[in-house]
Amino acid sequence: MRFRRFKLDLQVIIYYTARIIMGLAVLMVIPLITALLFQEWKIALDFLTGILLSLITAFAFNLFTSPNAYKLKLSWVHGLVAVTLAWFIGVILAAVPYYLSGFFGSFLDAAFDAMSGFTTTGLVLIQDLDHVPYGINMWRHLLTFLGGQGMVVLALTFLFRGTSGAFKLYAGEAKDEQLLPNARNTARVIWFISIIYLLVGTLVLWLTGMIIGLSPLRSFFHGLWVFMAAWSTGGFAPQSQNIMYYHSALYEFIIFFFITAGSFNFALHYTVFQGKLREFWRNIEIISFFITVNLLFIIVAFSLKQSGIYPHFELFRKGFFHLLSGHTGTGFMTIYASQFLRWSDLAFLGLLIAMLFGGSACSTAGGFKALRIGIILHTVIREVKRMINPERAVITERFHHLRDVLLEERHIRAALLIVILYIATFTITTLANAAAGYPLMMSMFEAASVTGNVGLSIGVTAPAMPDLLKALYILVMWVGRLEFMAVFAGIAFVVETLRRK
Amino acid sequence: MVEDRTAKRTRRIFSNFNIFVGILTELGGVALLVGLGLLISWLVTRL
Amino acid sequence: MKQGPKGLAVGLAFLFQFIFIATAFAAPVSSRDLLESGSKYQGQLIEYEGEVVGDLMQRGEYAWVPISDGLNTIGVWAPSSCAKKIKYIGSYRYRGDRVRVSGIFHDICRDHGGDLDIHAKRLDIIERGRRIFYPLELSRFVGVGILGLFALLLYLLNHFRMRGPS
Repeated sequence: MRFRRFKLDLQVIIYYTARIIMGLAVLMVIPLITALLFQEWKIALDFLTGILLSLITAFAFNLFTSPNAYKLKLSWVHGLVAVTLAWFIGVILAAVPYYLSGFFGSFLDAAFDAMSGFTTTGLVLIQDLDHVPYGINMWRHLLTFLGGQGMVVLALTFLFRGTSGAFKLYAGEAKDEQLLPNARNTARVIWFISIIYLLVGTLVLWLTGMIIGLSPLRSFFHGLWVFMAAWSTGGFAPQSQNIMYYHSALYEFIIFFFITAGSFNFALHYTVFQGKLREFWRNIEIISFFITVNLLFIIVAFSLKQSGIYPHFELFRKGFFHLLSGHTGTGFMTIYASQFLRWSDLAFLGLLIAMLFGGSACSTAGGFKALRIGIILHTVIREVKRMINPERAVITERFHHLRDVLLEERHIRAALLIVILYIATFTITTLANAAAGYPLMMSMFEAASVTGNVGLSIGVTAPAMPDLLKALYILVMWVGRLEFMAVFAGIAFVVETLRRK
Repeated sequence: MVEDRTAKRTRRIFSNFNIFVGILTELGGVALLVGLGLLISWLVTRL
Repeated sequence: MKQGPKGLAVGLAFLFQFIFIATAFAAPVSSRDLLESGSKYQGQLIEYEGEVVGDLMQRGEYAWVPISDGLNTIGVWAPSSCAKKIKYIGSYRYRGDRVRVSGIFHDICRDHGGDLDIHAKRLDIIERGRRIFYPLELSRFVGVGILGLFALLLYLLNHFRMRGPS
């Protein structure tokens, strides 16, 4: 009886996983077409192989489900486990064309970049990036763009028909705002917002690219790719110099808009796009984000000024750019990794904290999230109020997120739990880096970058780093992006399975 | 068919004008943030 | 006794450094040296050699020329007349022209918002680039064919299974 129940569990999970993988196969058609357009025949073959392998996986999974699997009820655990499994298999399949292209040292490196894309981290192990074909570049940026919205969100949009449990899948990807009663429509709204911004952003960057001297065709692809990486707060760029490649204040200035807009909550975009503009200025996340960005920038700016490396306007160009890039979890860089070592310790710490804080909840960003920081701040205020007031007084605290919300214990518990898990992950990653022989500052910086899905690098992430560390980074990016719970549910499910046998 | 209906529904939620104003508001917010950043760096370099 | 070998090592390191600096201006400097000990070269005339990659970006009378020496890519700010000599730009399908640049190195360039760059005085082509051809192996086609057949088989299997019982 118990075993039968377990078999049903497995069927539901596999059914949904297969659907998501099918979505991945469909998606690979885009880089395939790009490669064909630019006559990169070998790369086109690589993508064809990837598509076929994805289809085979999805079909093989389907063999293990009964024809009526879609009728089975999806529970929360099923949703979480299916998402975890889909991400795991999705990363391996996405890495296939990467590996076949020959731009990676090993399959592990290719999987690292695939995970880095999906989690919108932006750390890279790709080699000889300046010679990478259009097809591969399209795939890199598409992965990161899709990863920002969520793999599940994509699958929901196209592949599911009226499934009641869809929201459970959607929430597994750390997106807990339900914009519309139906998860499928919520997913569509998320895509709608992203595509609107994609059109605007690509157009603006395309024109700017031509102003700064790129040819129209190249400018279009640079614009499209940079926008995809900016909006999803990913941090990939088509050239090895990242954003410094463009040597343009204007280009950087425009990027500010899209990385910040990308780090906003989709529920906020949704509300603002409905014409409720006041929400933007009242939202707890916006207020929290504005405060932390400015406070941290004051620290970074003072420290950089004191150390004297950026005497004038460079302070803004380099200091503010990297602070915002780190705070939104993007990871665009306009200096070389090794140049971070010359930043003063205080500026370094300011940037590190910004990376851990991250953008808004239910956005494309990683990190603690502004919502949780805001809630924790309100909690502190409430506790202080409680202390100075008479014991019998009833103290309430409210915060504004889409509507006025009374601060309750459950908000506090959820916020603190996730923040503590992030800090624990950060500590473990720092320890691992230090154990691999990197200096403390470098270890901490890279750990914060991996944990918060940021992608700024100080040089630890390189093809020559130990394989074990690469594997750990893959895991940390994954748990950081899914906000722990989905991965924990996945692990618990496996453990439970083993115990039953 | 299903696609069309949902597309229409999405458009009804967001009118073109509101999308335009919404994007402007958000970008305006970011402009404020960037402006503050510029102000801070200007003040810091002057001090 | 304990200080002996250590002192010698320090002495040698100094010596090497002098030799290194003395020769730095004759031989091209690697990008790694430029990035890691940038302040040492700040404002100095250096030689840098590598392949032109990506895009040439015209800005008035100058152009940005990204040059990769295999380890890193550094942006070179060169007069348009110099940049015009470049024919092949490195990408997936082309090996770019190999050039040698002599110019002033800036660790944190005041003219360009703090970027690390080289302001070229001279730019010479050492080796012309060329088209790169990627041979298509027959085995890859066969592999794709087999995978395709396998996928089709699984699809049909699923198709009939779904039809069958109900």
